[in-house]
Amino acid sequence: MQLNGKVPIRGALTAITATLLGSGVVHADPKGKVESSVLLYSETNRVSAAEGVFSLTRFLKKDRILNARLTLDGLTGSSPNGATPSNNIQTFTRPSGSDSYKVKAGKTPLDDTFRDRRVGLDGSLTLPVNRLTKLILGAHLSAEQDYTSFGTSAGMTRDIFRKNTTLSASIAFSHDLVTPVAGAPTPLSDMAQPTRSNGEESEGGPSESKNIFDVVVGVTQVINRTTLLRVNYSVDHASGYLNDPYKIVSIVQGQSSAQPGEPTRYINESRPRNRTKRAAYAELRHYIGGHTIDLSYRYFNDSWGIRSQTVDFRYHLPLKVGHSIEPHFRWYHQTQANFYQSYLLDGAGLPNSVSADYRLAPFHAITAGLQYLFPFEEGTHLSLGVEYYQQFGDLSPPAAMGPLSQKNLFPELKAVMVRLGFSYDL
Amino acid sequence: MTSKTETQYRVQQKESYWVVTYSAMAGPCEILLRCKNRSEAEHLASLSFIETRRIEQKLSRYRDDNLVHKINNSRGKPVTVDKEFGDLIDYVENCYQLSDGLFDITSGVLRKAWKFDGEDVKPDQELISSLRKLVGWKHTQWDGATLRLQDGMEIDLGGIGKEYAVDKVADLLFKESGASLMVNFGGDIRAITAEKASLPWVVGIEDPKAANSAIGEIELSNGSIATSGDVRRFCYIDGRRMGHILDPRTGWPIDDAPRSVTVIGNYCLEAGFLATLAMLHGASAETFLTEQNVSYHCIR
Amino acid sequence: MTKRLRFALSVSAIALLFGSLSGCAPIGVQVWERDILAKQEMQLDYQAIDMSLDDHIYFSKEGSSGGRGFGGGGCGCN
Repeated sequence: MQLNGKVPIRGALTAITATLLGSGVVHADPKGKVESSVLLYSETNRVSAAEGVFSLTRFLKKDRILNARLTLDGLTGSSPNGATPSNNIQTFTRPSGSDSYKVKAGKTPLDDTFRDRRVGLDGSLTLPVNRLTKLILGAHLSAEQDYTSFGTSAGMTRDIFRKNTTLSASIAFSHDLVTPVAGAPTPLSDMAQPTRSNGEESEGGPSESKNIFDVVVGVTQVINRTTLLRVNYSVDHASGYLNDPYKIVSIVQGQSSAQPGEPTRYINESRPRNRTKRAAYAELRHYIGGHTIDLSYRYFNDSWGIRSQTVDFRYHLPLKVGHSIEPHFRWYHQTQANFYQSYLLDGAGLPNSVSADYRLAPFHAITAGLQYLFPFEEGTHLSLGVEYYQQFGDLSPPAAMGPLSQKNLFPELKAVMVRLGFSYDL
Repeated sequence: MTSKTETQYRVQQKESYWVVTYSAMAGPCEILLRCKNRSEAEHLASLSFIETRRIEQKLSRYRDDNLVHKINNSRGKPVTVDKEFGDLIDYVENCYQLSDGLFDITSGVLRKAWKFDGEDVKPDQELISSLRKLVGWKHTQWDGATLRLQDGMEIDLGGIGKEYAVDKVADLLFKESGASLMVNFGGDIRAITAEKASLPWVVGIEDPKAANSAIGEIELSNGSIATSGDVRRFCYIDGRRMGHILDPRTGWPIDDAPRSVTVIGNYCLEAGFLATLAMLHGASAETFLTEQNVSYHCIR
Repeated sequence: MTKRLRFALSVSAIALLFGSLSGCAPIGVQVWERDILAKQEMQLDYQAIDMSLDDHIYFSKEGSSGGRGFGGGGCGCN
């Protein structure tokens, strides 16, 4: 119990005193925060999207936090419809059901009328139960022309071991409606014929729905003064109509027929009506010599047979006062869903489940980007980021039959993202 | 509360500043403000008075309607505390660790064995020993939300209450007005100066042995002064003069403690804690403070 | 490979928990050692909005979702 010869305690004392006085109950500063971010996303020859988020956070009495978020999305361009390329011109019915579009010989069939707008509203309320436990309640509503989603969530966090460990658990439920203009197609049915004769859009066909139930549990652990680790495990179960109503599958002629590999007809995709996704996620933040490293890894698998791994790396490099630059690199790899097939063979009978959606194909992807952050004035920050994203699939799978093995079966995706962020303390 | 409290503080104008005075925290409270006009001074006076009273009511061990009372009468049961109280418990727990157990908010019960009225005393070692069993932060359970004491133990936040109030009031008034100010609750002081250009506050250091005679002046722009030790509260044991600060490890007054220690620090809480801890170091008080690299003044 | 990685991951998480439970491992910090952890870029919700925008893109272009938070949904993009 001798203090003499010990390290002086003054620095620690100043720190704990500042901590105590900083958390004043009478005037919490700041009162809130406005954050917004605009993302421009552009794929080479395909989809362009703009997405804007506007978020308002208010710090209320009794340490309650209210957050409201508005998301606006606009999307336009061409998207692969799932059909295989052909030696001939192919004709497809537009999603509206009223018209058709043609695709040149040898080209990956793209639906060039892909266009959508989305408005999303999210709200959350954080309620401290006591000094260690927080309750977070949330709700969301998202509306597109052909899709509506609404849901709620509830979560809890608990600090233990002098706030060195934080446990968290949350659940969410969402009910989504799929309402394409021409109705949600019946799985495995033939692609509809255009109803152009009267020039009117076909009347709303059947709509479908799905329910999604999510659970996330996590542990955040302070390792030491410069290192923080978070581990999360999430399970997500979706049931109902899980198809993309705009994806079709080509049924092609067999090897021994007159035109092997050429489509005879197209059917609507058929995904299983249930899907369970599981993801284990670990994130490490480490501070070293003024720089911050953020490294995360995710292992994912689902009941459709997809397994994926994601590695994400960010480096925060401060420049002069307040300015910083952040290189970012992401690597992603997934295996295919077990019902993924680029095409079906004519006369071979239909499987229960089939999809030619490239997102269920085996591929890997990389993202590389750079973000610059700079203070605008006190309490205001701006950031500008540019990222490049590319997917690499198996263009000509060796198993593809005859002529199709010469064709581009994975619709290669290259995209550039530009993001402008803004945050302002109220 | 407002109409009743309005008459309980006074606002006067001096040359270039306003003076707010009231009585709270068992002593005189004085606040000097370089604010614009009387109405602002009145507004700040009201804010500070309400805040001081709030903290006094929250931390006092002489009330029966607060958490301190609830904890001290919990008979070994856990008590859930609010955020501010929990922040304070975190703080005193950290102080306990930083002082290797010398600063202990459970040591107040030891006072039952002592009288510091300047007379000779015959210590009752049996009583001291039995009270010592009720002292020791390490015997409590604090998980960050609930505090559990052993039956019979008590906490006393009096050792930091006044300093906490000084810091809270100073921060509150500065956030509200942005004006230069100095808060002085019975010699525990915190000064905040709005801009570098403006004049520092001048604080007279009183000679504790002779009231109303200053032994020096300190210029203070941003910082705190706190004093530990009360030259009027002492006793004699076998002819030796002993101050009123008790060592939680022995239950006895500290040998060779300075009569008073004044420390200049960033925050009033910090200065007050260092002053008290220096007293607990007895003969090596000055060595301890020199190691901490703070300005101080010890009277022996 | 993936199985082993996954195993290693869960083992390290469990080891961490026990480390802090037993209190013997030098894991965690005192309140006065939180200066670096308090930095903006050390917060787990640092740039949360940007992250959510990115996650939304990946949700609509890849077969996986979830991990950092909920598995997603809420839009007809997948």
